[in-house]
Amino acid sequence: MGPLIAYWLRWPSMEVLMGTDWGWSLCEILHFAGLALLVGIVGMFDLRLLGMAKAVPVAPLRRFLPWAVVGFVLCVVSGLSFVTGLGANLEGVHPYSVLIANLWLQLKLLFIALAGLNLLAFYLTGMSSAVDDLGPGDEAPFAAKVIAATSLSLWIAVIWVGRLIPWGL
Amino acid sequence: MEFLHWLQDSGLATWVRESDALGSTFPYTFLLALHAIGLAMLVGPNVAVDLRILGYGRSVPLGSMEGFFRQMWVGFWFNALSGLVLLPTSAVTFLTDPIFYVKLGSIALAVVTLQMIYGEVFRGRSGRGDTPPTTKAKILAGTSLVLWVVAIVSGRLMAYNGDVRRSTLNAFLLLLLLLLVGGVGWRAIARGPGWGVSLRRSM
Repeated sequence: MGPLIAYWLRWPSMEVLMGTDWGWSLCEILHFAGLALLVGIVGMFDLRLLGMAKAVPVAPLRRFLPWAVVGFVLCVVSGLSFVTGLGANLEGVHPYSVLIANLWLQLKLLFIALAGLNLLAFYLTGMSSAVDDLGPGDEAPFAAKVIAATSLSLWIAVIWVGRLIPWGL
Repeated sequence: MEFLHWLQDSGLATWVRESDALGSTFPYTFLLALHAIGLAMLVGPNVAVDLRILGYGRSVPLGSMEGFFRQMWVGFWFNALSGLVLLPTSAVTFLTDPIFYVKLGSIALAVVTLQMIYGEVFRGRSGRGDTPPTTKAKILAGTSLVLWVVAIVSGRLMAYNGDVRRSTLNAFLLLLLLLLVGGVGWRAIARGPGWGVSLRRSM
């Protein structure tokens, strides 16, 4: 399994792209712009369910979530570029050895996976459709608040451990 | 200049930069993480408010979005304070770097713009129902979007030297241009009459 993952994680052409003057830094810009859109807008939704900005009806607020998805896509594309093109930034370092040794990267991937499961729980518990009925001033059900608090904490944790990754290299 | 060196060599700056508390250069990385979290708390909702003013997501009552200003101010203070403690760690590099002043200037203007948006769209409007945003509000919202892009780009470029800055900026502007052309083209196909309609029907 290890050699297979190691084989797939190293993309020589990505290393060429990320080794240009602009490749790595452009991806950093996209990663930060993406995280602002993703965590900022998901945070709005979570905070509304937790009771902030209660005057906002919940169903229409979903109209902004596609912009969070845009942010997520920006982060995934630039993040995968960092991993697959890592050899361009750190000569001779293989992404696979970083994946199995860097605690912060592992925690980040774990928290993103947990955020995904949390989102799945949001739909499977029926909370997703339940909160659609919340008009101005309405209080979210307790279960929805738990899911919102989990989501907010996980995304903040993703940024936190993500920022530490360079110090674990 | 002497003052900047003194600042950079001060006890606090040295501790923030070099301490290895908790095995992860704790104060420095903690502040960097806080700076990124604050960025998300401030810029994400600000972009959403700008987009709403520009006509996206009209089903959200604009006045109700006043509640998100608290989130934005928390993000702003996270970043103002973490930035203030991070600045002395590289005082000489940062304060002699033109890009640093571009970053601070664009942030200052973006925050002033946000305040002007508050005054134009939100202040004293609660309970009076929604009126469509004025042209002035739309211009402010567009300005706000541009200023945040400038702030994020210049913030990231601070980590690089002149050559990388120039080529990164060129690559970024090229990407924006491609997105713009692609977006305009897509709208023309999706909405326009004539060949756009026939193309859509054939798909």
